[in-house]
Amino acid sequence: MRAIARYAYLNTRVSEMASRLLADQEIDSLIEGHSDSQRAILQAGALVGRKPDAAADAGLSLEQRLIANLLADFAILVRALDGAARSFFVYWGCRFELSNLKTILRGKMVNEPAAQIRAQLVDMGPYGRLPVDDLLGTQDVAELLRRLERTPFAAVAREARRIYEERQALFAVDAAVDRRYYAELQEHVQSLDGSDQRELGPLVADMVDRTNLLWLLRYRFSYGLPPAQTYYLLVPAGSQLRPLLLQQLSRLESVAEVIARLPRVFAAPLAGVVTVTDATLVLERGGWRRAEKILKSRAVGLARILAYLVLREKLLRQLRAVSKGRRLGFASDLIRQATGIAAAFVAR
Amino acid sequence: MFRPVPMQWITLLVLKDDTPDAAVVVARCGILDPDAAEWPNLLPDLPGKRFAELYGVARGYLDKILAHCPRSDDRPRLAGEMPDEAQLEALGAWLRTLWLQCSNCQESSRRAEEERSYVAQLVKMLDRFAVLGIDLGLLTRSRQFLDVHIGMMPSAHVARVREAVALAGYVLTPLTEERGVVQAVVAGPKGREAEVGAALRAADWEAARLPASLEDGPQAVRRRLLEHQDRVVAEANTRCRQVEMMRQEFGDRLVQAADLLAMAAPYAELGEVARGRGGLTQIGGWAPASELAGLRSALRDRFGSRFVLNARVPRPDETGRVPSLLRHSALLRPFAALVSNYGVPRYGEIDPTLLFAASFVIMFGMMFGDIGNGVLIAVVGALAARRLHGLAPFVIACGLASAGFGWAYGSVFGFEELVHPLWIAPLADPERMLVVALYWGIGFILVAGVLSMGNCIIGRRYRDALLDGKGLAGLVLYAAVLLGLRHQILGTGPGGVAWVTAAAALTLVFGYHWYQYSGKSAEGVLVAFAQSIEDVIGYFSNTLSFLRVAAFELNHVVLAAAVLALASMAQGRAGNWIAVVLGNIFIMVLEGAIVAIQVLRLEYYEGLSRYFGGSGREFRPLTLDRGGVPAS
Repeated sequence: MRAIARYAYLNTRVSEMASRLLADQEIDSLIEGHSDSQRAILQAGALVGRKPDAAADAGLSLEQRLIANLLADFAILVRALDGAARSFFVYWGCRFELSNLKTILRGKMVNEPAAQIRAQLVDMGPYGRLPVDDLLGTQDVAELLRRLERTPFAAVAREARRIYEERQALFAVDAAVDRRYYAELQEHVQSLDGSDQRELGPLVADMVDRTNLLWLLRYRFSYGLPPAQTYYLLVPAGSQLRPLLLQQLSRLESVAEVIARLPRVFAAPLAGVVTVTDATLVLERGGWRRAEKILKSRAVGLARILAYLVLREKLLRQLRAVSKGRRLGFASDLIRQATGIAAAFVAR
Repeated sequence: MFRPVPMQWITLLVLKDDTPDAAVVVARCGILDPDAAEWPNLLPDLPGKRFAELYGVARGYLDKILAHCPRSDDRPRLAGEMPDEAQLEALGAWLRTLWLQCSNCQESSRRAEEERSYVAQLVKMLDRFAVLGIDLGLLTRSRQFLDVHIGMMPSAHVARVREAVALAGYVLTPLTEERGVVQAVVAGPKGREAEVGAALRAADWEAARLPASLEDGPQAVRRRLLEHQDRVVAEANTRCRQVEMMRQEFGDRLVQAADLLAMAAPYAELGEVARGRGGLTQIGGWAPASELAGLRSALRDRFGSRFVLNARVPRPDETGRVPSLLRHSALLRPFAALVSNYGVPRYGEIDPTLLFAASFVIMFGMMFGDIGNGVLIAVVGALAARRLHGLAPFVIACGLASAGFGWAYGSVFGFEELVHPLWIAPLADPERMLVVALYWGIGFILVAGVLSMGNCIIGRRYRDALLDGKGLAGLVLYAAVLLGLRHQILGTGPGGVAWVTAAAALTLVFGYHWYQYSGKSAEGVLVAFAQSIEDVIGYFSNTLSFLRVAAFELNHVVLAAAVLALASMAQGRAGNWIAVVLGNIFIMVLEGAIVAIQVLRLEYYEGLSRYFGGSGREFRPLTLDRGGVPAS
């Protein structure tokens, strides 16, 4: 069956949901808005047009409600999928749970109080597989890792144990979790059938490329890791940044040199960038732009769903940045920068 | 029988110092489901909050300790004194020290296991080198220009590590591979040892801890490795023995701790719910109206006149908060479990358990009608009642229904000629069977529709009751279309009037869906149209779904005939009977299970989904033996 017929329902759904995404100008007006900003942010967070469910939302923070909304959209889309496509998207949704896992591991490794760690977690509702209460109730890191080994995240636990025992920097936990996530995401792409794989493969490979490039810059120039270790820590699943090129890039000694050796698709937007922070913003923005293009194109099927979810996550991050920025009384320009709509290199 | 037990909102006011005792009295009565108090702003204090936190900590440690070294009798005695905060804090601290010992035991056992697997790998490597006659000492010795690493890592990492170490001018050579672990040598020019070391560590590389000199020969090295392993295992065993000794030494104290925490549990559970101001505390919650007298009497016995107990019926706006207490006889309990698997009725809504049970049993009998099989199922249910843990009434009822319909069909273990059918032999007139199943389905859906309307009225959703696709308008539409079709096909009953009524009802349903849609009007028309079509299709696809009631009985008869045909081909009388017995066992187990699943499917999708939201909250009273960790 052709994709247009197979995914007719999902395409309609995605189109309807995508109409609720916000343009940069709308985010900008939220940043500048004065009255009742919480409500405005909630409305912007895709609550518009939905029946308010006061009972369900009771007691949830603004951020939790935004995430709950995102998960609700996610559930609607995933419900209509089956087989390998469903597995792919269910695994994609694990990114929120992995973010919880990183928070718990990092928090426990620096002896943060359980209540403080809990406050930073995303409520995964029925999608949660992490025994959060048990993990937070552990006495020390050793107990935490033993408990984690009895969950589907046993492999992460083993890697975290090595990082902890070798007293490595905490970013190593994030890197290990991300590496595993993208490698497995790529495996899920491989298990899709022909047309789905052809459609989704390039988008996921682009995500992996951007993540690899970002981590390469961070490892080499923020954390000072040597080339061999840097290369090993990257995900071998990109499309533009093939292993040989990554090996060459890992050997280079400055951000400018790395950018100069990149393929045009990355080199052009990154031209002139000198710091890893700026590169992060540009790479993220590039990924979002690619997703926007897919959503605006005549593409049908899984790539369209993934593009929507990527942009939905972007909206979530932007709204969180606006909410936090306004709560802490930051200047509008700073909030704009945090949301990615006013970075120095965004215009490129 | 058809509605949850009437509840009342209870407000219990006690002196702050009496609150812990009040919690125990309330828990002993076991009739109060605590809920957030009214007017939280007027009652800002949470007198039990600290207590609940301390309880949570102690309970957490105790649970972990008991999971590590379980006791034979896990049930607390529920007698003795209620601990105060200081006692709970001390208990938590003591349990923490015990847990740390248990945790150390677990950690050293894990390390011992890790060491055991590491040494096993290393010994295998040494054995292979011994066979090849390679002196590993040559490789491990420090050299002026060459840096050599010997060790093991997961096979999946080899390709990536090879590329990574190549960046530092190193070469990786795998030696052997077993169970996803590769033993390998990594070598390269000196000068970038740290870089390669970091890359290897990131790849889960486990360096072989070989002695600097292997001149003693592989056997001696092997012996030393095994000795080291034994030491690690012995250390782990020592720690665990200490825990065992601790368990024996403190066994009684652990029992006391469990008792103490069981007594503390009710007050801890009220930690976030009991609110107060000054010297007064208010406990709020829901209780069955019929049992308030017992609670009042228990409170009077304990506190004399030092309490105020008020009760009122739930307000309409509280319906969603009121828990549903369903009381069923032992006969209905297995069916109630199947209903609660779907959901709990909201307070006030119709409890579908009795209808569910009756229709389930009838449909099972209709689909699996056989006197022999049915009686056998009922007998097995009666004999295995203890092992079935309360499911016996369900099995017996299904068996008896099967036997009853078997009599109506004249079927005994597949033999159609032994008993004269009371009603009809299914294969004699399959069309009639299908028509009866269709009428059964229509009746079932009409009853479900009426119940749906009833639930809407109970929930004060009068518009839904009248105009929704599952309300009166939907039912009229369904009935009118059925009558219209009957006229078209059989030429009987009203024709034109039925179609006009159906069109009017469909217009109402469409209009109501449109009215409910809050978006743009053009979209609204499209959405309302789609929903109306879905309503109509839903009614008729659900009706056709009931054809399976007849289809499965026909299937049963054909399957039994196949068994008898196979039996007739068997050699001798004994062979014939063995084939009949085995065939019937096969039919009872396989077909019985399939029919049960199909009936459940009909009940859930064609029945409960039409009229039963299942979004209610189960009544969970505060009891002494609940002993759960409080929400805080």
